[in-house]
Amino acid sequence: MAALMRSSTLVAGRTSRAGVRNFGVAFVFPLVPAVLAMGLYAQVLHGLADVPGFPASSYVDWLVPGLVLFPAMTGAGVTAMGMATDLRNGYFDRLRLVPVHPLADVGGRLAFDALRVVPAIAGVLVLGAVLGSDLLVEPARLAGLVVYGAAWSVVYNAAFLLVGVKTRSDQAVQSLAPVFAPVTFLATVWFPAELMPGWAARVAEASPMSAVTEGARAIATGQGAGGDIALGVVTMLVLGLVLVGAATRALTSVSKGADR
Amino acid sequence: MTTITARPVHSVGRGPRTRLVAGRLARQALSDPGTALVFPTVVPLALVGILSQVYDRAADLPGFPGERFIDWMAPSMVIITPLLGAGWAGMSLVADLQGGYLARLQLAGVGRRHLLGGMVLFEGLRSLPSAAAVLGLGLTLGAPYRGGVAGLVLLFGLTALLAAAWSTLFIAVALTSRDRAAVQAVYPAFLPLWWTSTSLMPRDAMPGWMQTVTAWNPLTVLIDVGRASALDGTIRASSVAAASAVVIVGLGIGYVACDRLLADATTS
Repeated sequence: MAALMRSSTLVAGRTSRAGVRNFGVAFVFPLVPAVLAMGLYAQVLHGLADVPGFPASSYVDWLVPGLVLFPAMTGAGVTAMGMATDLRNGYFDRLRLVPVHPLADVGGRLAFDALRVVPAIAGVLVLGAVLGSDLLVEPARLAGLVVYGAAWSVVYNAAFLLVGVKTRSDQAVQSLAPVFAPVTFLATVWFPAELMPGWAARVAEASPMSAVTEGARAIATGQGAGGDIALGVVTMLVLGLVLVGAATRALTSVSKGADR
Repeated sequence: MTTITARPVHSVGRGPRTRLVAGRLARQALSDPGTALVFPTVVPLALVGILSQVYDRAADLPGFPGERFIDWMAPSMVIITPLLGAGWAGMSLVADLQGGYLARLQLAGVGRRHLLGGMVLFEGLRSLPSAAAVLGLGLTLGAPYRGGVAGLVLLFGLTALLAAAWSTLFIAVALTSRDRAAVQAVYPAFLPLWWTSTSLMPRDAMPGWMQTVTAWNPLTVLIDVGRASALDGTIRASSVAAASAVVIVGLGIGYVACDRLLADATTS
């Protein structure tokens, strides 16, 4: 276990150094869509808060919890592209000379994915406060949202990592980028499910993204008690275990295949 | 020893040379239809399908024009369709710059203006199948269309001109960076333009400062003309002239900038 942690830390350090060298893509890009969404999109659609039955006092208040999860999604794929490159250029052949478990590699990269979205999440919270959101006053809730958003980055980026390992293709990883749009629009990130019509409401209610979003909303508002937070955390845990497990298995089979 | 043979394009006129460039791009697009044609269609179709459902209740807002949100949104999505699938010619140009194809074209007598003309012509035409699909989905979802044939010509004409004008941004980035990643990084530039237009909400439902921004957004001019034609069958000559002027000026500025950048790229 200690060896696994040590290896993960080394991989995270290497990935961090690569991220710092590519600062804009790793740290700034994840923030930009969220800033545009809050600064422009939320302003254009601010009238939605006047729709009868809308459950928040302003559209920005509704968006902030969902947009805390946004940087993880719009900036996803940086470490997965690095993984695809490493698999193509022989890095893993060299790595097999030292005893590094595939889980340590996957875990190290995802640890960096968690850390690199923290500044972007903080940016979302600051901008939300500037734009008048009255949710963001308690430091404990703010810290909770940062941790929650970073955990979501691990889960979401694990899917990209899986594709990176399976395909070894930057383009394949990059082609996943727009997935965030249907995933978030068919959930409660942008609009409450109870105000959506027909199939959209049913899809949004059943979406794991809604469960995760409502967990963030419960942290931000303090409403919905622990039930929504627990459901959000459990959803992330299940998705995370499945995706991290699949990525680790895929990387293991790649290593074994190369050994044969 | 390698023998290079080139088609004697110097024997054909300017128009045909431009069409040769556009034709080559069209053949490239058909060999990679997923990236060139399917993706630029699927993204706006998905957005229309999803946004029209998710924000359907926006039509309940006091003073919202139209019975349903799709009525308001569909015409605008036809016009912004090319922004959602832009950059193909720019990407292709990067490969041409890196592979030396541009130098061979010069030897074959294809000038800068033929090359640029062919690229913007192709991008304008490439936008039309996607725009038609988006209009078709809007109609399927119940959006009204009262513009007749003249409205269709106006809607698709503005869409193609916008596609041509917007493509010059990607061509310019390709010429300055020679880097596919840089060309791709320009893709989200449409978001602020889209989100500060009247595509999703009427101006009256926006806060004051956003109304001012929206009024100055060139995309708003195009969307308002296309929407008036589709919803009411109204085609005012002055509005059409203003919208045409916006895209033609945009195309002209982009074309001249790209021409200068191409001159630098081919002499360096």
